Amino acid sequence: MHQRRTISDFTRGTIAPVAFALLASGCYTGLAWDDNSAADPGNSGEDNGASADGDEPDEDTAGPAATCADMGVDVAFAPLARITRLQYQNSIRDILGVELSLEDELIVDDKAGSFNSNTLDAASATHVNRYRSAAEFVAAQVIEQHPEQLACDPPPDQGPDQGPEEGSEEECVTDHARRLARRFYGRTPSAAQVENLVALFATVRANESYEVAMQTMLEGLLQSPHFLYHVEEGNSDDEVAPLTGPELARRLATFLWSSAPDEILLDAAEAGELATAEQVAAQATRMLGDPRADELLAHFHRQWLRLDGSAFMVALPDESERASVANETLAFIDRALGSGDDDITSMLNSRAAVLDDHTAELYGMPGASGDTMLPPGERSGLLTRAGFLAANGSVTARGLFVRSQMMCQQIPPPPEGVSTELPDLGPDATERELLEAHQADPTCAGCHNLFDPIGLGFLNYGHDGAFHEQDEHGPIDNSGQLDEASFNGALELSQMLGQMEDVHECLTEQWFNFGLARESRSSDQCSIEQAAAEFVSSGPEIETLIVALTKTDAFRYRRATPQQ
Amino acid sequence: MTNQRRFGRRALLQGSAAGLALAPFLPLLDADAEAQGGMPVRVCFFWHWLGFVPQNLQSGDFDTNFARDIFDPLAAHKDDVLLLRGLDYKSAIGNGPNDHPPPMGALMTSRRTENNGGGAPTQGPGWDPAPAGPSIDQAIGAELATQTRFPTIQMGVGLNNYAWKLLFDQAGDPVRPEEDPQVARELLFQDAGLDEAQAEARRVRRLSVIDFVKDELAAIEHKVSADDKHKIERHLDHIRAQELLEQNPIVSCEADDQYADALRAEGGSEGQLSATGRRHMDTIVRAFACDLTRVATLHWHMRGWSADWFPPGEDPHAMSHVNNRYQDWADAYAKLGQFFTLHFAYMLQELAKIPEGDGTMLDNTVVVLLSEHALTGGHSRRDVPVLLGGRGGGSVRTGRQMNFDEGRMADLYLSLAQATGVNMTTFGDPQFVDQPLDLS
Repeated sequence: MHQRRTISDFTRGTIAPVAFALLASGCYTGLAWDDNSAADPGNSGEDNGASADGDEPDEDTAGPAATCADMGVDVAFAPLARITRLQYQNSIRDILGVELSLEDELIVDDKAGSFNSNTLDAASATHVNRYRSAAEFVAAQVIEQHPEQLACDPPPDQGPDQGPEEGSEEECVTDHARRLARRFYGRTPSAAQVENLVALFATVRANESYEVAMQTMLEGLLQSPHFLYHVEEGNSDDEVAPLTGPELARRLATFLWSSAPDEILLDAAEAGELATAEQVAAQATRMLGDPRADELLAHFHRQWLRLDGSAFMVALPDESERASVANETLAFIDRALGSGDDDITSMLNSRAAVLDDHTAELYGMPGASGDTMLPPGERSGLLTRAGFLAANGSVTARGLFVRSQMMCQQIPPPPEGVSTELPDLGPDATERELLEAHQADPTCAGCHNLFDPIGLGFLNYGHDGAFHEQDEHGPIDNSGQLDEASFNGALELSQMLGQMEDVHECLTEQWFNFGLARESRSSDQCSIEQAAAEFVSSGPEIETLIVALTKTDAFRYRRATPQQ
Repeated sequence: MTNQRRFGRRALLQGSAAGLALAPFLPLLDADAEAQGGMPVRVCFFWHWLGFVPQNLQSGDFDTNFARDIFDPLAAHKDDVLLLRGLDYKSAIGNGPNDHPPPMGALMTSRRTENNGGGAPTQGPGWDPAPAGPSIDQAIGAELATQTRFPTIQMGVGLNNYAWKLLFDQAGDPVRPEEDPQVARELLFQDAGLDEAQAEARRVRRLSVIDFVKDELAAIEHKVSADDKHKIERHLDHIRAQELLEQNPIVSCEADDQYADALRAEGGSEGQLSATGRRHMDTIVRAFACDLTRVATLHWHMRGWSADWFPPGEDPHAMSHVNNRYQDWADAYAKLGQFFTLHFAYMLQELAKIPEGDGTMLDNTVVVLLSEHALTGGHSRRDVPVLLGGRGGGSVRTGRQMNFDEGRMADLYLSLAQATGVNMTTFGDPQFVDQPLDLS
């Protein structure tokens, strides 16, 4: 039927990526649209893409070398972001030294693409109420657990009416306010900002103890928009302008630590030492060596693989099993990507594993524990680990993950009015036969042909990630198809993917979306290509990619208004 | 009941964005009923994601339909409900792709949605619904803003992160329901656990913080791009709303600490969701009784659903698309439907416990059991069954079924508004609305 292509066709990059627009709208065919469907199917496809602000992806422009060098600095508009739950929680930990679980205190984050980001909507009343209750909770905990860091020496038993002379309570409180605001706001506060905080303290201090007044000041800090929002003004009025040092510092801390900048970073930022790409990269490298970056890979992959999604909860209702499987996947990632050169090959093909009782049992190695190697044949890299498999439990979901998350080819959700019922082929039908019958329906085939043939390669793995050589119908056929290349099973697919340039570039784009907490636009294309080039020439190695992203124009500049 | 209305009527209107935005259209209150001493009429949207199992509801006849399994939990309330068939979510038909987020914003706003970008896709590109107007609960609440302390309240159970954007305020921003029963209750009743001195001290501190935050917000408003100003303005609106509530403490209404025993305490998330839902319903009933609000929404989702009787590892959502393929799936799905009718029945039962006038609060309330779709493989938005519980102050004749032919959901919304005394004559996109349904 097809001319069979080999894996090496992909590795040589001879197969061009499918154009975005074709996938986005072109896979809807043969639909009888509702009479009310003034919003036509093509429209929904276009609106779905990364081009929501009207900023069309320009896949068909010439290569990066030809255009990017000529274009000068460009970057897409970054909408005002509200802090995420994790950034809030880590900031408290890093600034006040109090480890609190604030999962239940704050409202779950929105998403931009796969990643947590609060850039879409205005905060609702519920969000704002929770900012207050979280602040009251945190401030009370800090005063209870670590009052000493907010104390004043000499002790505040001289009463609230001391003058502002040296050593007074007011001077001490002013110092606390300045120090805390610098960390929470990510820049040295203005005199007026410090005064406002001290005034808040003083108002309450008139009737309350020092501790209660300090607690209230902390509540104010935590509800300040300077903490809750990442306000970026840039250092000039130009439409595209470099970020200020402190703005860049905050982006770095958000990306690499999911937290607030530390003193070293703020000092560098305010001394003008984040002015060049190399200076930013040097800070990024330092920050990656800091324990605060230990969870970076886990944060990215938990969101990217949907280990934070409800499908994962449904596939594995038992919380401890879910934790075990997620931990195995994330520990594996940590190992594979920390190995040095050619991280992506390791990530997709390595058999290294860190098992506990549950995953040892699940992987058919009862008794194994700790560091081990999985036996050849059944499992190797990321796509064959139970975390990915359970969080993306069906043939369709797995194929779609490869297509949309590893190749960055966007596919619209099913059109309205289409029946999602699979045909009834009787009890003897295999899952493969059902899906193939599904594809015989032209309404479905247009899009499903793009991912189901990939997903069929995963038929050996149940929705919970267990491996099966055969099912009730006999040996499982795990043959699959990715565009024009055939493969058998997820191990072969993983090998193919690991060597595809599309995948390297797509991973760059995913890390971009994660690092900037927004979906990339066409104006970011040169930044992505620049980072991808460094990534690939490094091995490809993930740490290089992360640092390369911090050097890009998209990371270091801001656009004042959305492009129309 | 009248005590609460003293507080901050005008202040609330001034401060709430809803009131401000709607001020030019205010006149619509039907003051007659109250002037004549009638009881306030409330509406509660009991909204769930599941859909109805079609084979359970095929008859045009009430008694036949009501004999179906899905209504078993409502046996005692047969005379308290009106079943509506044949209503379509007109605005969600032809609104775009059939993933869950796109139509969500269309269902209760009766407007088409635009893609706001981003969003949390199950797969592929995001689709974040942005309708151009408020949902019906918010629209009714805005009209009643001068009458009660809270124009609306909204709670959630097991909300799914990518499809919670159902309610939208007057400015078109999504309204996040509060999922934590304790937090919801404290916001409404201002924490009855504090003594007077403690409450006063907290009020003073909170007002100081609010002053501080207001100044800080005002200071950054001009620093953000024009496109983002709206976010800061809305934040400021919500802070001002907090301020008004602190300035006007509640005096005569307390939360009821007595929660009913568990309806079901089975394993998995079912027991948890059930408990959360019941606590929310208790709070809503209490808030209605105190006339703190007349409009409530309880938004049920099923994040991470599991139950002892439910096939492990199966996904209710996948089931909803192919529920008729296997008998065990169909059975499980029907039982999921019962989960919602059971809790709907609980709400009716609690309302019926509170005497009011010659009857009970149930006579002066409409609880609207509404779902995202009519359960068919493609999640159709046509012929979505609706169950109304309670008599809405006489505007709803219960114990029967009404059948419509391609009826408009927005027409029902108008009827609900009118039941609460709001003389709303149009709602949402004019092409999807005609006139109120006569439910009496």
